[in-house]
Amino acid sequence: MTIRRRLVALVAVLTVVAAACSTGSSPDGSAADRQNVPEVSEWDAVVSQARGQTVRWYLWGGSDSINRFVDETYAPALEERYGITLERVPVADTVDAVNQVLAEKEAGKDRGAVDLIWINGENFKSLKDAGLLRTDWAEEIPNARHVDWDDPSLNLDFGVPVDGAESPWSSAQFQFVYDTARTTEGDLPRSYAQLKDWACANPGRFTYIAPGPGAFQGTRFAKGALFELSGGADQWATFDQARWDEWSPELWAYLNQLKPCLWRSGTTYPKDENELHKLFANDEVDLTITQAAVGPGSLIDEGLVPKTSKAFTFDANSIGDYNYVAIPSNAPNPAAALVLANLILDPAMQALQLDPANGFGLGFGIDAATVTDEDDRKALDDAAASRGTAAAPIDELAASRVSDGAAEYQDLVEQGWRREVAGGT
Amino acid sequence: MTARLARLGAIGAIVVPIVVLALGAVSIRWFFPQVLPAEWSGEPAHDLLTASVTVRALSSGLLVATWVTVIALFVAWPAAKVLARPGLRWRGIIMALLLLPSVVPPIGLAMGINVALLNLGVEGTTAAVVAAHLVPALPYTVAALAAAFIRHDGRIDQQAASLGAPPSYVLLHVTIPALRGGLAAAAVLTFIVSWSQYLLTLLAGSGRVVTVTMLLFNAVSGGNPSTIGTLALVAIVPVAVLVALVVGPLERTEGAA
Amino acid sequence: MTAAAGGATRAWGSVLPATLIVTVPVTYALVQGIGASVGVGVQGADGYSLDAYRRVVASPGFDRSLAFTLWIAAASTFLAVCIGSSIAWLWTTRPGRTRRFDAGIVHLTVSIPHVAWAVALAATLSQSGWLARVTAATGLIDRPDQFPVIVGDQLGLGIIIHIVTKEAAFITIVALPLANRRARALVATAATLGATRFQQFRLVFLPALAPALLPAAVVVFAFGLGSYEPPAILGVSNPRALSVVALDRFRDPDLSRRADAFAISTLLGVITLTVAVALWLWARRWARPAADSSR
Repeated sequence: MTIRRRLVALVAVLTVVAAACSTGSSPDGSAADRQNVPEVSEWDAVVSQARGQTVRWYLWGGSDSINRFVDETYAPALEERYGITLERVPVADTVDAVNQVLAEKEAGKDRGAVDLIWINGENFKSLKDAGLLRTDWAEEIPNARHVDWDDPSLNLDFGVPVDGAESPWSSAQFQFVYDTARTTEGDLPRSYAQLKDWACANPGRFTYIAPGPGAFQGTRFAKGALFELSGGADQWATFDQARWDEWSPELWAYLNQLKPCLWRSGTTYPKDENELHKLFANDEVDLTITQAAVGPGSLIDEGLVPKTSKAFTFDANSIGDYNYVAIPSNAPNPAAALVLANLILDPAMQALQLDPANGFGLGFGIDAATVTDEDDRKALDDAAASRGTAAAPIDELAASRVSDGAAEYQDLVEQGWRREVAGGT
Repeated sequence: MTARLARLGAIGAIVVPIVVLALGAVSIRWFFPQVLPAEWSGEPAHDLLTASVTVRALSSGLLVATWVTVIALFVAWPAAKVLARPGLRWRGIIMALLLLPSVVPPIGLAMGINVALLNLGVEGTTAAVVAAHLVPALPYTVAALAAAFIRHDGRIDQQAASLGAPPSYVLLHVTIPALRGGLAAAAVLTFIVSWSQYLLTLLAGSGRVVTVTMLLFNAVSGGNPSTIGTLALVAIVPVAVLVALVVGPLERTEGAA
Repeated sequence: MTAAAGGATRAWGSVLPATLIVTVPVTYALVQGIGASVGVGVQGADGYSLDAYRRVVASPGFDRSLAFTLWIAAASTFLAVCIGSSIAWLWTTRPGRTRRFDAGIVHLTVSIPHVAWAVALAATLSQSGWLARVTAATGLIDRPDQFPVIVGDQLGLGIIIHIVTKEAAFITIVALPLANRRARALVATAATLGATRFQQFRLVFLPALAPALLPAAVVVFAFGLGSYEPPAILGVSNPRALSVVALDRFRDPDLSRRADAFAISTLLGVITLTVAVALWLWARRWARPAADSSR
């Protein structure tokens, strides 16, 4: 009995000691043993190495239609053309994939679990700054010739130089959505100033997504207001603390004036798009938002919003940008990831993105003007023309489109909003 | 009379929300103010149920829960047998120790287990998730089995042994059949604890082991109402079926000694 | 070694695996959590520091989150114990023919995954949820904002309802064995001595259940304090429950914020411990007069 008692005590002590000791970081891994992938310029070698591999693509799983699009468009093509298996890994938030890679680095893992991430903005910055992304490949893959890499809204991601570390997938632009059955087009607000008047004339019928990590649509809404208040978006392309100090009080003042007129008097905000769509569909608020080039088209098909919904933008300051795919430096199947990234830019694939029937609905990542193949060109043009009646008019979109600001403002807006407007943790 | 109303109210409070979920699962555009859906459609539910992600999540969840149940029963059996004996010293302390996972705030437990698995280098594997689930599940397995052992009259085992039956025979043909109700209840309880986990699976599995509860949680921020309803039903129905199967033995566990 | 000692060793061998599987990870998680909260092994920190705690307490809205979390845990625990023990009371003193069905409902309630139940409650109780639509159909309201705010509200009512429904059933299940074995006889005795039903419930039934109710109350309180799913689905953006804040910090790409997550969870653990000890002391003080009066 005494022996048993001692044994138990020993185990208990060992456990506590083990816990206390191992809270330290794990031993440094040896220099990343990158899988020997042929040079990207030797594309045939890359393709043949990729054959038989499985590519694990981590992407935000919150949209059924996007998930379906990926499963039904890229997966079969990868299988048939390249013999690659696509494993789509849904994450609740891209930051989870980022944390995965960061944690793998901390644990010294040279072969991680992530091959490709759907990424942009602050998440891209995190991984790039940590040196955890494969670089200098995005402009070398064959279909990169269709990408307008000279365009600053492409080669800068939230103001961070891309440096070939990510390749475009699609483009998005911030728009509002209204219900033609409830609101007439003439009554719609066309600027943030008009929005405030409109919201206060109809108290409780408008709200916006709470800006925060992973809720970039809310941040985008706030940034649009900032651009309008400060007289323009271009000045925000570079980071300038003084400019922020000058204009952010105006932003908080605006949002705080808007607050009492909001849904639930601004005491709470929807935390994601789905929640806002639900309020809109159930007649609690009159506006929701979307980023898709097809407007609410796919949302209507999914049954998330009424059939009579339509998109529109303000006259200016509608933030548009690209989203990308990136390959972690410890990806176990980088060759397959490269092939997938290239496939995404294939003009025929890009045309499929825009067609509302396919459920994706985000805009092109490539420049249609660079496509010389006739059939591909036709497919792209048809897709652009068939965005559907729910989409906002193209000239309206083009006229109001502005680039996002420098990356540093993202966090400042989000933290500032929490502090100055929401008053929460 | 008030007791009857209260009873009906209580039953309604549980059943009505589940029915609402079911209605959402088989309809589309069921917006305010529709009390009953105006557009019925089985298509979204069908698409969801046949999607490979759903099938994989279902099988992951079942696999994990089954492993957890098997291992838990294996480990809990000897412990429960001993704890059921009235004279054991330190019985109170052991029972208190077994209570430990339930009195630690779930967020702390999940984060700590995540780090432990990370340091061991096994996080993200199914085995890691099974190991993690064992922590909250075992206490229930032991408690349920111990209750069964308490009601079990050990003398029939002794009689069989004294008649010359080898211990394995006694176990397989005397003890287990006599305990099968309690055993079933313990198995079901353990299975359900594992099946229902969300945070532990998320953190121990690093988001790589995807179960139905995880799909459901993600669907809340991204899916349409019929997806949410369907997934919620997929999460609830197996539980309901299992409970219905073992209500009898469960009740006897709580009944008069 | 005598036969008795050999049996005792075997007994230890039998309980050890189960006990270890349960206590080792939990102990590890606790120690690791405390360590991480004072900066051990976290990027950018050298040596022990209470920075994480300072950051957490100083963050805007922390006091509201703390009050919110404590309120939810306390209210849910209180209500769950009241309702759970009442159900146990009704079942013990008024056995009916529907018992098996009722037991099924209670077990079902306990077993429903939290994520699914939160979603079900949201669909039923929100301002555009099913109850609101029924109310609209009767003509009492015509817009969702006229229906009271039950989920997604500032007081955490939705979260409390979630926890109470599930945990009251849990308490019923926990209380029943004691209720059936000890309490029933005591209650019968009290009845013959002329106690009213309410007196029987409060002065005899509840104390008889105390050995089971008190640990169960601590379990429910710990859950109310630290569970993630109910506030994540039914809560609001301000104030946020502390478990939601903790997970947020845990998943922050800025790894130095992780220590904040562990600071919060350690804090929650300390609160639970305090409540557990307080309940234990209170129970002992309560039980002592009964022991004295039995002379």
